[in-house]
Amino acid sequence: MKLGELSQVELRRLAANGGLRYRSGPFNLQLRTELAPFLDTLQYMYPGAPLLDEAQHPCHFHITLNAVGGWRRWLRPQVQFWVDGFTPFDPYPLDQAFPMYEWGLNWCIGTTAHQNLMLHSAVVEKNGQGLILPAMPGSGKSTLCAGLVSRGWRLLSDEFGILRHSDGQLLPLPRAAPLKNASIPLMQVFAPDQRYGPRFDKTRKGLVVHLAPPPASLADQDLPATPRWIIFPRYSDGGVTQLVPQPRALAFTRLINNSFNYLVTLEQGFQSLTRLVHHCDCYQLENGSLEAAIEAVETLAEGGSQ
Amino acid sequence: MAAMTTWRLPNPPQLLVEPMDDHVVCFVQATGATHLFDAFPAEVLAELQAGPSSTEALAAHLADRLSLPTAELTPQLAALLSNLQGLGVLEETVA
Repeated sequence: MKLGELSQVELRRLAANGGLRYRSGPFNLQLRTELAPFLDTLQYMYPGAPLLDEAQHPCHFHITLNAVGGWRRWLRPQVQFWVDGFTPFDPYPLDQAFPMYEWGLNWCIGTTAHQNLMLHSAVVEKNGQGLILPAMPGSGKSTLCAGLVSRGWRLLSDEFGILRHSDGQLLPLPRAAPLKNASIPLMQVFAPDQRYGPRFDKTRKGLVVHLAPPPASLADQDLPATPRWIIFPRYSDGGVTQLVPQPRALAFTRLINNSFNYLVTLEQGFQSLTRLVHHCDCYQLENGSLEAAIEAVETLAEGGSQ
Repeated sequence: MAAMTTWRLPNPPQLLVEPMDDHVVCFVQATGATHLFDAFPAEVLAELQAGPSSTEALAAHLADRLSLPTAELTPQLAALLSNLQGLGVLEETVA
């Protein structure tokens, strides 16, 4: 059964009783909340997420998301994120429950899921070949990823390049992509047919609108991809768009700094990262416009010259 | 007969070595550190991957590869070997 197949009443009953369990990529999640508007958004963004049977699927993260009690609930309502009985963040405004949940889940994954090597990267796939877009905030990673997905690339993740140590495959984690500030109107014009979530003003990262993972990407979340290209995007408004080959050794060191957990994965991390770099062509993408950047990437993927 | 100093690489998994274009990357288990070396140390490590070698033999090999006089290379090589030893990338043995 899928998340989108639950009635509103069933969804709220399950979540209130701690019984809402669903899978997101390689992670099983248990979510307890009584926040009805948040649940509506969750269901709207992930209708294809598979629900889990309690007995057969132990969960990686037990998350509770609820309103803060006391006098604050009247004056300035807030929401608190709990994972395994621990609250790692200060509360957010209550109407920002969904972004808090998404960022909180990122934190859970980034700080504890060390069974794989995790890069801070968007990952997309076409014809079984994975493209990794490692980047820091502001590089245009999310916008480029969203643009490629709107042109038929499969979304593996907007945030995590999850590299399985055993075989070097990229594991999907298709989740909502938080578009920020200027990239929101850009994407809504560029890809009006995609599903966008509600608008969240004045979050800690500014204005945020989430782009839902395409249904096909969610349906294929068990299907890994073979890494083929690593492209470091660098956005410069109106600049010349070009792909510049990167020496593998430079790409390797940039990926160490980009990884969430290279330093704790020791030998396995070294072996996974060297294998990745050996198997991929590496580039820097000077990204002057979304349309030109997508064209450059598609030409590369089709085997054309740059 | 004078003692002979040779250099060797620690065995895996104590040291993992991966050539990468004209560079080399190494993981040192004892420190958990990853090191990136450019062409000159990469050449030294490649030679030592074939087996232990003395400073003199390494200098002769590098002089041949880089078309430089051995005398010019030797001080640089000695400093490099000492540095690599300090990082745990090399071990010194005296026979």
